[in-house]
Amino acid sequence: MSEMQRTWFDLDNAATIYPYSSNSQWICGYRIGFVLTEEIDPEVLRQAVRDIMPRFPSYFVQLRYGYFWPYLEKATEPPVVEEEHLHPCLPTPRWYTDVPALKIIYYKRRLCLETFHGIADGGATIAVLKALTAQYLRLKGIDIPDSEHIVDITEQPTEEEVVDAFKKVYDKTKKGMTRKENNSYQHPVKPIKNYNRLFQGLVPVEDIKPYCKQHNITITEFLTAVYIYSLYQCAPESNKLPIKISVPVSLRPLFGVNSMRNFSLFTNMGTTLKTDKSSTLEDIHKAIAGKLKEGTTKEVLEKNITMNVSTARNPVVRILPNGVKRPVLKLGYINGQKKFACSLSNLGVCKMPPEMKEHVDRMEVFLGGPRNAVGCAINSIDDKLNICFNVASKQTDVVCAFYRTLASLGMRVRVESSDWEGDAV
Amino acid sequence: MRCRECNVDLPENYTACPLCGAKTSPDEHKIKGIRYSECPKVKTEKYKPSVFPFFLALWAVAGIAGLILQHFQIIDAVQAAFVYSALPLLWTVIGRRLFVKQLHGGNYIIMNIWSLTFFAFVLGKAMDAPADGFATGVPIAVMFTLASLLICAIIDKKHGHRCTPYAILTGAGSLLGLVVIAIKESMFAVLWLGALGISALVLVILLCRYKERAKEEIKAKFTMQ
Repeated sequence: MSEMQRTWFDLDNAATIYPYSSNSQWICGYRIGFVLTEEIDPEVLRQAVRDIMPRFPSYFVQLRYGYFWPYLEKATEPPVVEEEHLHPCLPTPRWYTDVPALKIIYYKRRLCLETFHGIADGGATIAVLKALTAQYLRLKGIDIPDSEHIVDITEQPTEEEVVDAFKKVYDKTKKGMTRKENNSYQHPVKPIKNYNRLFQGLVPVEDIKPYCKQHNITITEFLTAVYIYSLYQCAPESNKLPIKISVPVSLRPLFGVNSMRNFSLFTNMGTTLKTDKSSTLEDIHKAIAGKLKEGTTKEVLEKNITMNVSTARNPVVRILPNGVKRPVLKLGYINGQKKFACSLSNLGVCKMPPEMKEHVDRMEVFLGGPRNAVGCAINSIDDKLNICFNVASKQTDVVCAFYRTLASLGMRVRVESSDWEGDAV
Repeated sequence: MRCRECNVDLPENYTACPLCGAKTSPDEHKIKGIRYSECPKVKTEKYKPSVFPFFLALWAVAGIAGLILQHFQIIDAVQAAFVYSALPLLWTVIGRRLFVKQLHGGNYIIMNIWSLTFFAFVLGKAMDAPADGFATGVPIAVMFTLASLLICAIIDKKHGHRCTPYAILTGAGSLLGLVVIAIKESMFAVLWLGALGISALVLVILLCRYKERAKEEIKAKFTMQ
């Protein structure tokens, strides 16, 4: 029986860790959204959700636990479409097991998808968001033509979109790589339970490009360097550990697979800096220039895939019951988290037809990452880069240092925050 | 508004900088034409941790203590106490993972296997020499009450009424068992067989009714990737 005919999906290889690393305070999710030019009409939005549901069967699922592995069961209940009333990316018990693990949230002009990472990564969720927004605008009477950038919701989903792409590209004859890596500096963040604060920094792309061109680095490498520099400024002088940032890389263009599940891998970039705080931003981006490219060649990624898939296929791992697997995998996850300080996800330029672009003000992406770290996500529509942070506490040291560094380089920055009055807990 | 400390633009309604807390100043924006994207005012709800792990830990400790006492042959009934204590722990580690909101047949098979295993464990020696009425009756009653609660819970909310006859059968069966055992201990084996028969009947009915879904769910529950 093919995946499309079944009432459930296996978790893809990258997603297997997420159910085990989730807890009552952190659901391993993220939020992607558009801010439109007009306020959202909830009834039209609900209809748009119903219209796109058949096209994305792997999204409208509930997480269930089998005896050996968790799996995703096709939902029979409709997804939650609600006005925003909680801090973002917080788990709710209903969301976790009762209704689809995909929430559609709106507030005034904002339309967001909050997704459990076990369903798909950001690269795939953007496609769903664009399709939902296009359908919503069409139902509002705006003509959005068919475009290569928007998934056609009248088409049937394909097998390629819903199967585990990692297993498809896995080649057991290839050698895996070792998991050994030095630990990274961990910036202490004391999370507040049931709290998440978001920051957005809008920067015109025209302000960043000349700097990157001058120093011969990509925008991702530049922003990673700024992130490392911000952590460096906030770290104690006694720190001798390297400061590393985890950067996810989409594997779709490299392997030519059109997957609507998780199909990305993480590469850790960083460097060890001087303990007397004399290292500069230039030192950092010289140290990491080219590392992203080195760490994301097809050969390296294939080794990474081999390592991950062969671990999951290990007969001992496969037959262990969930109750035993959970603490073991959680320990592995916690150990893996020590290899980097924070993560930075660059979703790139969001392309859409001009008829749709004139109704979309900006895009927002927030990583609901580990509660004791600061998550950063970058995206752009038009000519503005939106650098989004989320912090599970009232601490703003790293975020402040980041935006100040950009401003000190002569870049114009506009900052907004979800908790700007600093409401008391 | 702008923050002079951070040198960043801020929305017009901000009185303080969200990054450094400094008071904002009404300077002209450096980036023009950005509309403020408002966030709702959200109250942080107080986190209420679950007490279940605490009771589970307490119950497990009591069970382990019972095992140690039984090892030193202090009293036989402690062995039964250990089983009762281990029961919620095993349920959490093994049984609860199989709990599904919907579908019926696959989950019921697992519950049956699990409850039969427990019966065998608890009543192992009792098959040859009937155990004390209370020690035998309580696990039966608990097991079938649990099973009836599960049946009620696992059947889809929309079709909740379908669970009622099964719940009544199993609930009544356990109550009857307790009453009869209290009156006449030697009826135990007959009642046990009767209870098993009711479980088997319910299982057959569910599997016949939901054959395809039961197959799908069993495959999903036992997927090894």
